[in-house]
Amino acid sequence: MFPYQLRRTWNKMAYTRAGQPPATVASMAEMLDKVQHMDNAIGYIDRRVEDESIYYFNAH
Amino acid sequence: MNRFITLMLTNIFIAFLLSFSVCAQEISSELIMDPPTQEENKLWEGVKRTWRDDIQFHGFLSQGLFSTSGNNVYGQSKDSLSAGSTEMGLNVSYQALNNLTFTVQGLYRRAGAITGDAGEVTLDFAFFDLNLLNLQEGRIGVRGGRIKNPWGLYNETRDVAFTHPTIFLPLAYFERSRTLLLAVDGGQLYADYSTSIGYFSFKFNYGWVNANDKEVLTAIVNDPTVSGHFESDPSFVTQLSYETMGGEYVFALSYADLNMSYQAKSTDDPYAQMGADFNTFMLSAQYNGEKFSFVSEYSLKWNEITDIRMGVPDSFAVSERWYVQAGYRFLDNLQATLRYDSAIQNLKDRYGKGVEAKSGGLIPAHMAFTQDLVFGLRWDITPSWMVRAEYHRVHGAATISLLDNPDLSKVAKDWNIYALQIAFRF
Repeated sequence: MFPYQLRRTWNKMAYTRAGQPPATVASMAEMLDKVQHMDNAIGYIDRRVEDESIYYFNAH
Repeated sequence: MNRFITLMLTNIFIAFLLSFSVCAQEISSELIMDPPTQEENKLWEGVKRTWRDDIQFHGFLSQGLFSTSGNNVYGQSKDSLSAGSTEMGLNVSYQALNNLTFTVQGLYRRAGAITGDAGEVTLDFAFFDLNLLNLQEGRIGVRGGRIKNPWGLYNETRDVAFTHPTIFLPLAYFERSRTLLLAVDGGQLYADYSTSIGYFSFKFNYGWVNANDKEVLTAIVNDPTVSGHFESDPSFVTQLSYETMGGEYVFALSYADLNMSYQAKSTDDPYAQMGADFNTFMLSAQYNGEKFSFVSEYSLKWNEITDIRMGVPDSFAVSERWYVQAGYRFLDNLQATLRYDSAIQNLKDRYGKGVEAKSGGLIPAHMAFTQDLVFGLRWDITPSWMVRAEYHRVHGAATISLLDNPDLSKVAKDWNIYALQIAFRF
């Protein structure tokens, strides 16, 4: 999937209210905070970040 | 079922995902996370309460600038410059329960003489959304209130500049009768279903459309002195769409049955018995590749206007609209678009000779068709800001606003549009 396809889908959701597009956060620190502390949170990021609070696992 | 909260980092899209749903699978850990302390948890609880994830706001804004030869668009653009198109919207949604959402969107719109210089504020949509069945593969639900009509690829978001490729929508989205197809006051049944081969979505809207529109009425009766207005009778709009995962290919079939009757102001109104009945379908296909995009839509519309007035025969015309469009993405945020667009008002009078003769020359033949060749460039500066520019070479004038072009004898057959638009969204 290309970035513009994702923008297309989320823009459509935001302006028809057929669903909730993802909330956008301003920094990696905020992302980590929210993913860690909110129930059922899923975050999308662009690259691997090293932080001692992150637990990495691979699914096979 | 748990409600998932999704978050996104500015400017950045999927690369990998932190999901708890894969925990059940075999995992190999690389780093162990310390569980947050009790104290940290308490601190966060306070913050969490002020950050309402059940209320969401979104908005958009666009401003257009137009210069044309021959005919006016969005105000006095002919051999001049018009900034007569402004659109601004704000919506808020409140998720009251896991399966119940309330949402409302207000729209401010300025569109040449149709809305006047001051523009108009309308309630664009306002509905509740009740999810009746929510499974992993799909969902079924109902919405009630004022709901946007799913017609073609762009009608539901036709006023949101970001969601369509060019400043002017394709002719199939007929700007002159936009209010008719915009939304219904009534209900919607929707169903989505995900399969291994793609995603199916079905919507059925039933209710009353906004038929009280001067532009529509003027276009039908060709009489500026008409004093009454149209009122909607029960109508429906429905769509079945299919897209492959991620929307690389999108196909849709839309159908609308719109009915309205004329409401006279006085007893001697010659149009008192008039009724209008529109049936229309649209076939849509879209390909979204990495560099190239292709879109095509084809629509036929049966226009039945009965009991217009004494001595005027009922009118049955079939209109045809279609376009093919190619897009090329030089960069992820820079796109060029080329479109060939065609609108024929009456397939039995393709070149308008009949309507010109019948009106005694009052309605020029070239008001019966439009062919439009469009070239546009779009630059998404950031996910929130966008500018685009386009050029139209137009043959025919079926789609112009009669309120912006009141003198039919001056309507030009071959003309040009130069347009520029800046848009913001959040």
